[in-house]
Amino acid sequence: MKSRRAITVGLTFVAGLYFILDFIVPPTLPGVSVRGVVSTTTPATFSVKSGAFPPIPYEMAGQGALRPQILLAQRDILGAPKLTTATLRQVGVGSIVTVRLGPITIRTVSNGGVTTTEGKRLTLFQGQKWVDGTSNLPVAEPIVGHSLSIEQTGGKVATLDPGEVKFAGPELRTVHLKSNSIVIKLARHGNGTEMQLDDLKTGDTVQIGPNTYFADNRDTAAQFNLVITTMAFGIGLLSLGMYHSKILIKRPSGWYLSVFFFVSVGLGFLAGLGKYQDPGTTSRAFSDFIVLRVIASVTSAIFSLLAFYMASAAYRAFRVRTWEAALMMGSAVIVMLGQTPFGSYLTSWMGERYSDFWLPNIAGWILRVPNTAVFRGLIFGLMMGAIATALRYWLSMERAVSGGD
Amino acid sequence: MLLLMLVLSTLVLWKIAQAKLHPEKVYIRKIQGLAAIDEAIGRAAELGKPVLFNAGIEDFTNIQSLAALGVLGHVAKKCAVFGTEMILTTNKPIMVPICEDVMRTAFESVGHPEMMNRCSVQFISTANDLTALGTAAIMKDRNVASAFLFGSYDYTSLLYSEGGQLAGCMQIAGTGDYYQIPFFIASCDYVVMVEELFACSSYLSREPVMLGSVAGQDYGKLVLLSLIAMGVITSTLFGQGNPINGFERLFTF
Repeated sequence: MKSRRAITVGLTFVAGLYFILDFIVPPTLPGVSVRGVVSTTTPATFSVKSGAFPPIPYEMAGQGALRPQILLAQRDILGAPKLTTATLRQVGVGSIVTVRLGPITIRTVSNGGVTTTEGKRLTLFQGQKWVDGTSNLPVAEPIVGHSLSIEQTGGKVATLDPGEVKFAGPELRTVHLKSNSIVIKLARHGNGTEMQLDDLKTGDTVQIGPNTYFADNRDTAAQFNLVITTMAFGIGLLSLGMYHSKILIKRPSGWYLSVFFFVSVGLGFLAGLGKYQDPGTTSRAFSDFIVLRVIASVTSAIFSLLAFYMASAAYRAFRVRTWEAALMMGSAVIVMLGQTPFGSYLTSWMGERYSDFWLPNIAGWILRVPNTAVFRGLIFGLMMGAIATALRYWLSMERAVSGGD
Repeated sequence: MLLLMLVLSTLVLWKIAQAKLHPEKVYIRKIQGLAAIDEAIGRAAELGKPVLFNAGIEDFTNIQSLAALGVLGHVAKKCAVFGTEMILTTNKPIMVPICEDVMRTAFESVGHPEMMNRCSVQFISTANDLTALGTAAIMKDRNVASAFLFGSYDYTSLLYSEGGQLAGCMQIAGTGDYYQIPFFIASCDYVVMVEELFACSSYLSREPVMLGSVAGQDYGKLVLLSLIAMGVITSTLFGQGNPINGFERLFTF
């Protein structure tokens, strides 16, 4: 028991410390980071080698179609391979990447090369191929008028130069980026945002320095939650299954309702199989029927119950038994009437001179002044309570949960 | 913001340290909703009916759910002492093992580990409204005597509490979601509001160190109130539309 508590306390402290450091530590390493106003930038360059072919050079410049997209091979939720867009900082020398240029529209085809509608002449390097601009499927030959992309599939990054930034100012200082450098565009309010070098404009105020990696690994840390939560779905289903199995074995009154549970799980499983299929296809039809026709209808029906519950709760709340209840009743009547045209009609006879006493204005004052004051008080209490509770959990003082007496 | 966080956290830690040194000096006012917890469990024990606990609609990543787990520990201990059956419903599968663990720890701490066999943690559905209706159905079918609704809630708060009201339960609710407080006030016997929810486990445990953190909360609010007062004064005297001549106006007859 003691060792279990020690492990819980230790893990809680380390996990809490990570998120605190993530909050406190700036994205670039203090002391060695530099700050300045951008004058010009030299774009990043890299080369990718496929098989026995010589490396193909790329330059991360411009906003047009010929800016190389770096793609990393991953798998989707069904386990099928897919390519996801990455930034240059996410790859290093030796990384396996796919590079895609385009899509471009072909105007003319001649001598093994093409001319784009923008007038740019392009030829393929050894290791590159034409792919369809929409489906990204290989195309044997470029066709005039078609939208195509150039792709180098599954090459190894051979060289990588992250580029440099020249700061404005009398000495025009130049900062050469390293593979672990990040560029943060500073804002007048709030936190800065990470930028790619070629997205910077002259006059932007930036901070450049080595990455502290806390923000980079936040998603990885959060994935622990995701993994545990996903595993817990199995526990939840098991818990429900055991509960309903017991009912089916003991057969108390209403036992047959537990049969519906197992039928629903079966139907839900079948519907889930079709969930990630393309919309409108036959394989998706059953999933859509269960989700959109059955579950959505049931949810709407439950939501409509709220109207009746609200009426019965309001009846109970508005019974005037104490002076506090009378106060609440009075202000509720004023606010409700004040929101309606009938409220305006009731007090309009007072004229412009006494407009402060019109019901809509009194209702507005109640909402704007006392109501806002109370809400702000609640928010302060909420914030302080959250800080104190977070500290208690972080330092494992909350014995009821961390396993102590 | 970072500075304010550091100041407020330091205040809480300072009061915790002080409470460790001088536990007799910590005083916390009576919170009606929390004082009624024992009464609600006692009522269930007298009637021989179960107690129901719901830890809100969020999982353990929500601070209100964590605060609710502190209350769950206390309620489970009391139920074990009185020998009252306890039912817990949740809409988050991840909360099933966590709540079971909190309950098991509580039962073991008062020497009744066998209570775990009599109590149940029921995951109902990941849909909030279905869980609310399921919980209301359990309250009615199982003749639940007292219900505890602690944690974070959305519009389903009324589905839970009105369901309990219709089933004739004594209900104590606690939430930090201030838009749901009026609904709980309308349907429940006692409501623990916002910061009181975060003070619950400290108040119930009566441990000086935990109570120190609650005192720290109040000192933090004092700092915030001082900042507001300073803001109001400076804005009145020097703010836009009330320039420095605000001073002149004060002293001009």
